[in-house]
Amino acid sequence: MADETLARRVPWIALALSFFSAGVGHIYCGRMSKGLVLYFAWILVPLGMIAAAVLPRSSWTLTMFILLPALTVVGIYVYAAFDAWQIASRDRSGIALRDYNRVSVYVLLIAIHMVYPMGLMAGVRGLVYEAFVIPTASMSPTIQRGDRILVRKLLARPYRPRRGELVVFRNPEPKGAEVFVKRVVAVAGDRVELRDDQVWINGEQLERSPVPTELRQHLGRQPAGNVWQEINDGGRYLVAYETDDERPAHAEAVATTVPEHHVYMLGDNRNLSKDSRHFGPIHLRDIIGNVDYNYWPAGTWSRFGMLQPPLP
Amino acid sequence: MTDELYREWLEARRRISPPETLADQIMQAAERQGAELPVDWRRRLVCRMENSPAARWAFCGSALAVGCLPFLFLAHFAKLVSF
Repeated sequence: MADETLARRVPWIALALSFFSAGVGHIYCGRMSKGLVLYFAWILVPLGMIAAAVLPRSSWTLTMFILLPALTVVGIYVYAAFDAWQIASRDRSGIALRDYNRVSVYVLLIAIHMVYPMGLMAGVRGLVYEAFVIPTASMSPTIQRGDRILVRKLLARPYRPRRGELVVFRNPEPKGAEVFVKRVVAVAGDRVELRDDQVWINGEQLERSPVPTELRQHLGRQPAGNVWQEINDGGRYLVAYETDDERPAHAEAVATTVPEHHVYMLGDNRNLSKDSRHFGPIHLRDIIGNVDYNYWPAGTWSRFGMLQPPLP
Repeated sequence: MTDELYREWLEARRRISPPETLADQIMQAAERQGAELPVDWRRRLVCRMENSPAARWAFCGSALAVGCLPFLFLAHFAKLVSF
């Protein structure tokens, strides 16, 4: 039953409640509908991410469905605080108290708000997208040290990776990094041969062409060695053959057939990468997801978004 | 005419000297007002905080710090901060 007592709303309390949780300041001021809309604004983030996971990959999708909702939630938080303060300052005569105008309701809403955005984020990280920071140059020039990538975990079942895809998988060895990001160069049943810096799949050498230096300078920090554009199963990507004093070129020839339910992985920086040449083909169950976006490139923003080389 | 009445009333008031107990009466009135503070401890706390800018700043600052925790988690999710 509504209590018709007029009660003055204190602006700093409205502001503090909004700081605790967007929307609660409005509910305190008797603006229930608007308060609930602001309160549940966090849902935009997982909804945007789910939409991005099912839509075709593009820089536009990344911006509109992943980055914009996150920024919108921040904007809504700031707006809600300012607006709640304004409403409480304006309503000098007070408001008619409702059933929900109770301290216990505000405390409950704030307590829920401490949990539900984090739950949503944890759910997104576990099921939809997970972010990773790249600590090494083993995937240079495509992904460079310091890049932040988004890995899509929402995969078709049964998942059958294609040649040329970038994937993140669990390290099959007990020591070293927990996860690796590499490129699938061969799938189950393929015969892979590696010799003299070249890759053969099922007896056919992968087509490749050198990338001119004048084009490479637009792609951020680039490896010192030769850079090639390789074509595998119709997909184009850059590979490098960089060497340094500590790690000489991987000279050992490889010839193997990829077993069922496995894929063969190589790093794009072929000479500085620990990959299937060291630990063998990777079982599909160890794959965590597909690399969709480079949302925070190191060095230059010209590599923002997609992981395809911007080359002719 | 109104001004004349007002002047007369003012003169009459000036002729009256204040009672000797005026100070006591004021003190008692102040005490009564103090006793009228809300019984509910939360309302009393709000009344006290309304009179203390430092307490208001501290409360709003704490609210901001707590309210920003989900954003901190979002930044952690995006690998912008690590903890």
